[in-house]
Amino acid sequence: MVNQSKEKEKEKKPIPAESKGQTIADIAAQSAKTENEKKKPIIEVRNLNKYYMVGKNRIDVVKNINIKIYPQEFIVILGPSGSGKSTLLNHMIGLETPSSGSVIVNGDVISNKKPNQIAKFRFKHYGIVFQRAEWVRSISVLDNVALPLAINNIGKSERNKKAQQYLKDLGMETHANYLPTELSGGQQQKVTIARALMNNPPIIVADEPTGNLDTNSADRVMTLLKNFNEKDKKTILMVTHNIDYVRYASRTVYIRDGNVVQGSEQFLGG
Amino acid sequence: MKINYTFFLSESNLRRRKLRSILTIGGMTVGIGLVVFLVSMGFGLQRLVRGQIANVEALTILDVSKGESTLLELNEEVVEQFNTMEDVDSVSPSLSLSAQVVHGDAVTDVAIYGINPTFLSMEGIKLKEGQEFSSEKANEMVITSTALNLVGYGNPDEAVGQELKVRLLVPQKIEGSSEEELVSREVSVKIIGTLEDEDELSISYIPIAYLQNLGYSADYSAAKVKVQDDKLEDYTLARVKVNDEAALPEVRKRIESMGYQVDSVADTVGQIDQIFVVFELIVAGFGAIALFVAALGALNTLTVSLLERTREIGLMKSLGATSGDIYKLFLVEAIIIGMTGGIIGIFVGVGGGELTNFGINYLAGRLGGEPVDMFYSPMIFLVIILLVVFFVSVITGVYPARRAAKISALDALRYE
Repeated sequence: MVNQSKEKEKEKKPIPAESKGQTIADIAAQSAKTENEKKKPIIEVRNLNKYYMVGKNRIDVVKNINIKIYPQEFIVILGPSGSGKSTLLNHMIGLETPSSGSVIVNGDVISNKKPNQIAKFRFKHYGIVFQRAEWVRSISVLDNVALPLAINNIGKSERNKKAQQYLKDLGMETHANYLPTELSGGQQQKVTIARALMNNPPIIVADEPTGNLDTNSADRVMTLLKNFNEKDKKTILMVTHNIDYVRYASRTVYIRDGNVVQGSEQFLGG
Repeated sequence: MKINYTFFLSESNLRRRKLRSILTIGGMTVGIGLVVFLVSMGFGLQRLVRGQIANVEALTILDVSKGESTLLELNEEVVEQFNTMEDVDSVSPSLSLSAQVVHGDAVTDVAIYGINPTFLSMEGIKLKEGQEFSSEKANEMVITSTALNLVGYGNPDEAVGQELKVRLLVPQKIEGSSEEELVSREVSVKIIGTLEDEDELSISYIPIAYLQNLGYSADYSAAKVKVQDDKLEDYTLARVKVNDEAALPEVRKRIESMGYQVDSVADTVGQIDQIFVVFELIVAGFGAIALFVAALGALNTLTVSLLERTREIGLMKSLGATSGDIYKLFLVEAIIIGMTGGIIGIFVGVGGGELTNFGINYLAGRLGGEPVDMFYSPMIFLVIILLVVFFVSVITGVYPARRAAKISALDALRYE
C-alpha cells in the first residue's frame, strides 16, 4: 500500500530530469515503467529456477528469474548462445516445467498444469514461431496454416477461410497449395507467422525467428512482428542473440548464464 | 482433434511415403490373402466331402429305431409323440421287407421300403427319371436301375410307366388261431420313377399305406419287428425331421431319453467337420505366419514413421494437440494400413480361390469330370477375418502410438 501511494505521487509530479542528471531515454523508460505498473502483467515469472542433472552434476540453466511482461509489449530476450534465454521462453509457454518458481499467464499458474491442459492453454494464449520452420510435411501450406484450428476442432470451411486471409495478408496466397518444403526459408517463416496468428492469440512467441534467414528476409519478418505489435496490439515475446533487433523492442531482457543481467524491471526501449 | 481430421492426416502421411506404404500394405495383403486362400480351401474340401455324404436336409434328420429292445414300440402313437415334440418338423415312419420283382421270366430279390412320400425328400433321394408318388396310397414304386437291369431292362428309364410284378410275403391269420403266417402274394405295381444308383443295390420304395392295405400290419416281418399290439402297426424306422440343424441335438436327446436308438448322418458329418476344423486351423496357422511377418513389417513402418515425424509431433503438441490426439493419429495410421491390406487380401484370397475353381472346373469339363468347387469362403469367415485384421492392426499400432503420445513436446521439437 505504501509503495502504491508513493507511485501515485510520482505519477502526479513532473520529473525534474535535468536536475537529477537523467537522460531522455531514462525518462522515457521511467515513464513507460510507471504506465506498465498500472496494468496487470500478461506473463509473470516468479523466482524461476531450472537445473538439469548430468550424471551427478547439477547444471543450473535458469537462476531465480523474476520478470513481468505487460500486454502489448514487444519484449526481446537477448543473450549469447547457452545463456538460458530459450529455456526461459519455453517455461513461459509451458513447454518446460520449472525446478522451482512459477509462471503465471493471465493470472493462471501454468507451471502446475498437466501436459494436455497446457496444450489447450497454449492454443488459447500463444502463437508460436520457431527458429526452424516446423511443418506437418505431408499437407499443404494452407492446411499447415489452418493446423492449429484443425487440432482444436474448428470446422474446415472456417479454418480454411481464415488461413487464406492470413496468407493473403502476408502475400503468400499464391503458395497456398504448395507443400511447405517447396518454399524458401523467408517464405516458410512468413507462413509460420501466419499459422501463429490463426488462433488470434494475445501473445506471439518467437524463438530466434530470423536465425536461419538472410538479412532481407529477417528484416521483413521483424517488420511483420513489429506491425502485429503496433497495429494488432499483440504482445510479442522474442528470443534472439542478435543485438540488432533490440531496436524493434519496447523492452529488452538481457540474460547471461541463466541470470537476468538487465531488464527484468527496466524499460530499455529501442 | 476430430476423427475425420485424424484420418486426413494419417492418409496424407501414407500418401507422402507412397512406396513404403504400398510395400507395407502389400505385406498385409499377402498375409491375409494367404490365410483366406488356404482356409477357403479347407472350407471348400469340407463342403465337398459333406456333399458326398449327405445333402443339407439330411443334417436335420434323425433315424429312430428300437435298436435291440424287445419292449419298445415304434407305432403310430409313438410317431405322433415325436411329431408333437418341439422343433420337430415332420416324422416319416418306414417299413422294410424283402421281396422279389418279376419281369417276364426274370426274377430278382429286392429290398422294399414302405415309406411316406415325404421320406424321399428327407432321405435326399433324387429321381433319375419319372416322378414322385401321386398319392400316399398309390399302387406305385420307384426302383433302382440295378434292380431293373437284373430283370431284363436294358435301358431302365424305359421301364417308367410300366408295371412290375412284386412277390411279397404277406402276413395272414391262421384259421382257428390268434397267430399269423406269412403267405406269398404277387401284386402288380406301376413304376413311376427310377433312381440314381451309385452303389448298385436292388432297392424299391413303395408308399407305406399301400403295403398296409395289402395286410402288412404288426408282424409282417417277424425277424425284424416284434408284434406287440393288434391295433397299432410297428414300424422299422421313424425318420424325424427337425426345423433346424441346431435343434437336432436337443430333439435327439429327448428321443434317446425315451429309450430309442437314434442315428443321424449328422454324426458322420460332425466327425468330418472335426477333422476339417483341425485341417483349417493348421492351414490358417501357415497363413498366420505370413500375417505375423506382415504385421512386423507394418510395425517397422510405423516406428520409422514415428521417428521421422517426431518434430511434427512436437509441433502439433505445441499447437494444442493432446497426447490422445497423437495416440489416435498413429493408431488410425496402423488401422488404415491393416484394413486396406486386409480388404485387398480378402479379395485376393477369394479371387485366387475362385480362379482355381474356374481352372479345375474347366479341366474337369474338358476331361469329362464333374464340376466341383474346391474353394469356398463363407461370409461369416470373411467377417471374422476382417475383425482379426482390425485386431492385428490395433495391436500393431499400439506400441508406436503410445510412444508418440508419451513424447514431450519440447523433446520432440529438439529431436534431430
